[in-house]
Amino acid sequence: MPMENATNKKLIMLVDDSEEDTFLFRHAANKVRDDIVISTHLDATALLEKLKTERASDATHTPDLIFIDINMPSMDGMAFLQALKSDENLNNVPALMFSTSAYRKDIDFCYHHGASGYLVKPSSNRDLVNKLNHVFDYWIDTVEATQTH
Amino acid sequence: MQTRGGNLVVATLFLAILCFTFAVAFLLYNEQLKQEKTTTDIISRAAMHNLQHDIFELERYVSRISQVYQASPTMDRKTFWRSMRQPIRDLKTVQSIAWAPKVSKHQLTAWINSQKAAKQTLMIYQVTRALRDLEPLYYQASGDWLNSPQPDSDVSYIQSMVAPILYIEDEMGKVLNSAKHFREAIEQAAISGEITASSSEINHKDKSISLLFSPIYSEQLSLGDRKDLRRDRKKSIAGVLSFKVDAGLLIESRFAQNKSHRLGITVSELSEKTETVLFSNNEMPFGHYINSTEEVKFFGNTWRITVHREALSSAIILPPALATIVGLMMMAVLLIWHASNRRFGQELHAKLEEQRLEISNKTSLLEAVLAAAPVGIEYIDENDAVQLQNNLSAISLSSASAHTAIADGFATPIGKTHHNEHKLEHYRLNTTTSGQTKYFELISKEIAKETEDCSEDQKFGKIIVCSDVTERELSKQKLESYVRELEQMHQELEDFTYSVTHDMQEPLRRIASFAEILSDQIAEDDATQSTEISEKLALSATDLRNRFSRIVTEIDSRNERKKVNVHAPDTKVDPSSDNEIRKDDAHGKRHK
Repeated sequence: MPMENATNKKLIMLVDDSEEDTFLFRHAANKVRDDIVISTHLDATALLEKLKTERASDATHTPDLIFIDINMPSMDGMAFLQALKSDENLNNVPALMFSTSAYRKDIDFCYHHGASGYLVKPSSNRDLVNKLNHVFDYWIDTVEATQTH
Repeated sequence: MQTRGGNLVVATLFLAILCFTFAVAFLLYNEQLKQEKTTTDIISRAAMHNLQHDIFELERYVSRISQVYQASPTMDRKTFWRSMRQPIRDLKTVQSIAWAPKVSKHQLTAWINSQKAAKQTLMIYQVTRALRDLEPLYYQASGDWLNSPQPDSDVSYIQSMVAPILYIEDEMGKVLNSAKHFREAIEQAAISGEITASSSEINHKDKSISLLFSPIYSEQLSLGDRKDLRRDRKKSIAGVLSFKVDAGLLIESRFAQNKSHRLGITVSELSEKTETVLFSNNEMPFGHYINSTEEVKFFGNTWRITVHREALSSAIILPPALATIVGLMMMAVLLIWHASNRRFGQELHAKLEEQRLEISNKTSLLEAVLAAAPVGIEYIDENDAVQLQNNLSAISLSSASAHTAIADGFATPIGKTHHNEHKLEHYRLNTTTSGQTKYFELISKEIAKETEDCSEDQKFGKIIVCSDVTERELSKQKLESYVRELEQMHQELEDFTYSVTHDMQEPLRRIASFAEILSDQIAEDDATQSTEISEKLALSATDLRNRFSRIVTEIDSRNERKKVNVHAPDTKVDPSSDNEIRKDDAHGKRHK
């Protein structure tokens, strides 16, 4: 995974088991802005482990925003969200769910367990670009981030 | 550029074909889903509707019966029965619930027999209870009448007493269905203080007939009048009472212990012979007759002889003097009877206690029998009468066990609802007998008596209708479990639909996105990533095809399973294994 680690750039993470989807996400995000570092992960369990160990040694590895897919094999997005929100070092990272599912129960479940937002994967690349534009505009430029890292 | 343009055309065509296939498959699946949901909905709704309808009908008929019963004091006998019969018939029709499973003929015969036996018991219970309820009224009525200065004004009140006693006599007659049994029952009732009456047996046309002398019974009866009621019931009390009543006397005696006894005596045209001897004068005009009260002292007792005007037929009228003489003659007979039974008083008291105890036991047993007795008041034919005694003892035994079962907690009330409007109470008793669970339903309605002269306890009577609802209950349970199964199936289908749509959306979204990027790149003439994107496009398309085939397989297997579940509801499906399959369907798909 390329890690263009620059301190002034925001670290955006995506955990999604589909290589195609991570490609599309990266493609769209890069089109939106260049002041971000995108880190994509296919395995939620491995990412969680990584985040926990890295957070202990170096807070700079903690993402500024994390996108979580729901339907994943070993650990699904909901379990990942719950694990993230139950970890006292990681629970203030804004977590946005990023899924094809617009199932009411799924959406309610995620918000109930501390998701900062819920995005349904758009059906076209153009829409994805637009959506990410809004999301970054809000989470990077509009609101103040937490100071824990 | 040309090759790339060609690639685009191929990719677009490929995409179009895939989309078309998907649309057709999805539409077909959706249609099937809709149809299935509608069918199951209709089945469950119709069955529930039937059940509710039956319960509603039952309540309506019971309500009608209680209305008639409440209004009975103001009705004459014929009207009473005419009003009572139809709702009772209607009530019985409810038992044949439309959707209840059919029973074989031999099962039905056994059921009918048990119905008959239970009906007899139910009616005995009803009569006993009615007698108990009416006892204070009789004392009150005759006392009022005797003490009234204007007997005429009280005539309607006395008449209103006639309807219930006729009802009881008729019921009792039907229940016991033999003059002998009836006489014994009346004697018992008289001894135990249930009613005030005396009985006698005469030989009429070489047939032994029992006669009831009831205190208030003063209606003129003739064979013709009662013909419709006597139909096929020759041995019932209605038949027994089919003699002509000519004169009635109420005699009140006061014994030395200052205890008051009223004895009702009806002098009747017993046969042509007795008629000739006693009443040959039928030319007396009706208007000459005046009610009279005479007090005579004999052997330390005061006797009041009252001539009951209503008891006289219009055909034969006695002058007051003659009536008094007749009364004195009858009193003399009574005195002789008393004299020959000097210890009658003591015996009476001892026997009274004994009988009271017996009747109280019997009543509590019968209360229990109610739980097993189906509804119905109707004629019992002569064949049944032969086995009456056996049946009664058998029922007593079974009722005793039912009573014990209730007392011991083996039979438990499993439901009770209360309807304010009709004051109807439903009880369900769950009795386990020989490993089988039986359900009974009691519908009771409290009725207020139209009198203010009795205590609070006596002011209310109850009409209780009881029926064996085992079949209905079992069918209902079966239906409910079927409905639950259907609901589960609906949930399963909903989950499946979700999985399918979600599954299909993903590769389609990817294909669309990659195609978009590809076309952007072609437009910008930037070929740096084209190969990678084309590969991803093809991968997504393959993924879509795989998902299609998975769904088609899934639909096929579901269709197979549905055939088993829906078209054979009686087939026992192992719930645990079935649930496992469903769980897989519902969740497995979602988590790929």
